[in-house]
Amino acid sequence: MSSVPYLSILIWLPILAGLGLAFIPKLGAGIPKGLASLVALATLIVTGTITALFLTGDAGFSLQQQLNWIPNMGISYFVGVDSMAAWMMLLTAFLALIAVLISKPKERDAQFFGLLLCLEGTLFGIFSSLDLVLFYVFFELSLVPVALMILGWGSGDKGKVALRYVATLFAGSLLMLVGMAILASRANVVDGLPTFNALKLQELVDTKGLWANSWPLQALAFWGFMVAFLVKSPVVPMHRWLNDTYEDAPIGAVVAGVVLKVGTFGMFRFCLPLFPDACRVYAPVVVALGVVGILYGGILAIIQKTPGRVMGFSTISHVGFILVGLFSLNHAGMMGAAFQQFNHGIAAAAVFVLLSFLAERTPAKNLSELGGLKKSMPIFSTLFLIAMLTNLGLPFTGGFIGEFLSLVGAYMAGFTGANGLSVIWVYLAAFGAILSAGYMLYLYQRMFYGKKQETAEFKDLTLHETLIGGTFAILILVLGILPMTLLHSMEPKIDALGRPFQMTHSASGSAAPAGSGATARLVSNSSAPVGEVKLP
Amino acid sequence: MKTLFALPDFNWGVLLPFLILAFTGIFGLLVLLVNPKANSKVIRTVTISGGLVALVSQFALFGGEYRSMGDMVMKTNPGMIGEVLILISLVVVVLISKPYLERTASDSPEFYPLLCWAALGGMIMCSSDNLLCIFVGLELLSISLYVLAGLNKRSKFSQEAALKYFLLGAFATGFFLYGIAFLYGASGNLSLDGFSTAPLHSGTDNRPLFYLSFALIMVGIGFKCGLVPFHQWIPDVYSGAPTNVVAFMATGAKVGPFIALYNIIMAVPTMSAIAVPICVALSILSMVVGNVMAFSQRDVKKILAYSSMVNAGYMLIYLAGLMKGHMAGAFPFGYFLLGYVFATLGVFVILAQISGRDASPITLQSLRGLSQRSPGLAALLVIFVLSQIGIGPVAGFVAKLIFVNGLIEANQSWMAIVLLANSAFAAFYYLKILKAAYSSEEEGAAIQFENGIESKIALAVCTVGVVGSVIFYSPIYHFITAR
Repeated sequence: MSSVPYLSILIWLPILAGLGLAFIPKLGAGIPKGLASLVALATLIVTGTITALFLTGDAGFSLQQQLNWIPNMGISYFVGVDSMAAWMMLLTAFLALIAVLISKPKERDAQFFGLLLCLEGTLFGIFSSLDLVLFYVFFELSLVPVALMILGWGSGDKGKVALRYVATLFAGSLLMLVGMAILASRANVVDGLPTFNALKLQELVDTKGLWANSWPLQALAFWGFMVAFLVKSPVVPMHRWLNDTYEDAPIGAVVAGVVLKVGTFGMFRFCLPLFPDACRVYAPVVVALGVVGILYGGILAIIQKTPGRVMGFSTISHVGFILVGLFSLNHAGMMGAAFQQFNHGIAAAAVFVLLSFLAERTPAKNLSELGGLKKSMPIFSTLFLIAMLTNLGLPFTGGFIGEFLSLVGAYMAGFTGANGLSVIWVYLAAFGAILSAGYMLYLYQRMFYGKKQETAEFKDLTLHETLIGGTFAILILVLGILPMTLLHSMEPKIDALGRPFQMTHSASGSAAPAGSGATARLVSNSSAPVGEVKLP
Repeated sequence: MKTLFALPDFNWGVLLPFLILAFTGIFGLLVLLVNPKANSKVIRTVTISGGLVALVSQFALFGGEYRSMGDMVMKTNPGMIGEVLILISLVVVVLISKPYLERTASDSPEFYPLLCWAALGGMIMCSSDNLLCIFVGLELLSISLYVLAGLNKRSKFSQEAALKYFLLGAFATGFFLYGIAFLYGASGNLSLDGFSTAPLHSGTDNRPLFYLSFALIMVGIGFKCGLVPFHQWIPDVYSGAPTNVVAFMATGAKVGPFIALYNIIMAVPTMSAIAVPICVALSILSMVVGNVMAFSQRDVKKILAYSSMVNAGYMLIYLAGLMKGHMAGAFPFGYFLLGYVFATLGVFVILAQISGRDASPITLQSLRGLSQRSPGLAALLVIFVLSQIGIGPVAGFVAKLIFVNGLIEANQSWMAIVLLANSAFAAFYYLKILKAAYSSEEEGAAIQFENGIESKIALAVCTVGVVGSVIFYSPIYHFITAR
């Protein structure tokens, strides 16, 4: 299997196909969509196969491929995939296929689907890059298709939205270049050769003391990376680009589902292994940012006037949970974050896909113009209910597992005082979970109950739409009832990522080992679904 | 010891690119002399062939360092990279000139010889170790450009641009010459080596003379590079001069001064005490003023004019970092120029295609609807503009990465942060160009563009330059730096 460059094919097939579609001016009606669905389906099959390889659980990187690129600076074309990346790529391929299927651009559909495929390819590139420069290239490049899609097919003040989207994210990510250059120059100091190879750098951090006696540099590099990822996630106060993009992007599903996850994925892949000391020192800061996001997003989501904006603020709130879990820096928290990262992709995309079905039936965006949809669209309202429940974290939906594990992790870290975390943050975050029930139920009430507007005569979902919506509903329930497939598959990876943080704990001889020891095996020892695990 | 009038050792092979280009220009004039009614087709063909042959002979020189005529001609990096870039931009500009000049009805055959000599001047600046020779190159370049800027005789914008350029340019040249004179007084030498080897104290304290000469030379060269505060001419000249001429002004004509700047700054380690602060101040000024001024522009050529100042600032701050870290950065500097030249040239090729019959300014408004009319052209514009911003696998990004890397290695993190902060700001106005190109066109204002074979070749060259230099970085690096 390793002889075929599967990852390169995954990255470049959609990009080249997309560029081809964008450049060929005239194609018959329906042909671009057909071609794009074929390509997206092919990538889904390949990513599915790759993910199957990781079902047994493996901490390492498979399907590695390394080519010389800029050898004198230690830069190479280096791709590989681990369990977390495999799942994110599967999510990308799935959502890309869905996006192709549900999109009905009014004009220039070849260009539209071309850009969509380009976006898919760059996302694959992000998830499989093991070289910092390569990652950065894809990270920035993924901005372009989204911006062009907003410009060409968005609504409202699309020029401003697109400009803000690219400019904010580009500015946010620039300091990452400084961080990368610092890493490479430190590698040059300790190893005699500069390198941007993430695996090599990790090895140097672990064994050769890459960061010995260079704390300010580590802090600078850490924040260079973190600012880029936090803006992408996004955290308050860098969240303005998100809501506008949600409102206007015709591809809100992909943006909400995968593009945002690049931020937290980057933290998993680069920040934890490459900056262990800085992660420990700044864990409280990041957790605090996460909690602020949870509360801010939750409160503002209640008062929003369009479903899109409610989802925007709800996303900020959910990303907060991922951050809280991730920077608990213990097993449960990181498992929860990794799970939620995947799950929220499905949950948010489900809502956006359903909203796009609604948008085809009515131009009304405002919640005050909706209402009483329950009677006229029963299938739609059922599917929407399921999507909504996972967003508010009801047990037996995926949302519950992710948020619960994140909070457990944060509680354990806070309880033992690990890395200066405090239980207060957990209480506040848990309050955010209540808020999510509030804004979601309120949204549901305003859309489906209440006075019938002229929307009442709308037809229910067609078979095609029901199938797509039903797929999401099934996935949501599967993730909630049988989460162990995903959790088992990612566990070795999380163990490996968490090791530096556990070791120093026992070394420092604090009260932590009792807590973190119990946490470390929380998931894998329990044969019951995680949903039934009680707090120790 | 070298004297000014030592018998030079001619190495004709090294001089070949110069000679080819000079004779190409002369041949063009001879054709006109023999047959004043000759149309420009013959001259154009000869110019392109001359440029290509010179390019080949220049490529043959890579992988070594040569001197000829004493210290007058010195072929090293990044000068040789620069010469290649000048020749490529010469060929590309000649390619796009035919349709442009015909459309604006300002086709005059003397355009091509003048362009040849401007390129020759730039190449001489790239490859000389002697300030007097650099000055000759500078003058050859400038005087040709003064005339070229006024090429469109019926456009008052073009005439105004030419006059402004000439008056200010002549003034700046005076500074440059004055600086050389001081240097000669201090060191008794005109070669750049003299800068680094001449004693700062020879009986008397020579430092004031050295510092003064350095400052004056920086004024002269800063004018040509477009460093703030010597930048006043750029926006008006860019906006007013014919687009094909500006395409050369912004690319090929910039290379020579930049390489000379590199050579001068690298030759003055003894003066880094004063040179570093001057360079840092000038570069920060250039970046900030360029960015601020570009921000509210609607004229695309003016945006590019200000962005050229910002790019000049990037290069200067990198040079300051090199000086501070006592490092050499010939290849990175050459590579940055490469990324800048190809991306800028690409944008101008597209602008030349869409500029209308009259020489009125090309505004953001006039780009609207490009993506609807020609998806391919719009996509290429995206690639070139992204390279200017530094997004994606394009030369502009790799060049910036190399600069940041170099500055971090020189332990000047703050300079890297200044550079990046400015490039974040610059993204805004570059994106405005894309935004315009991807906006839907206004009623009844359909965008006109021609899409001849010449423009297609020119676009292909620029695209290959922007993308290919990233994919084949390693082979290029080895080819250029091989010893």
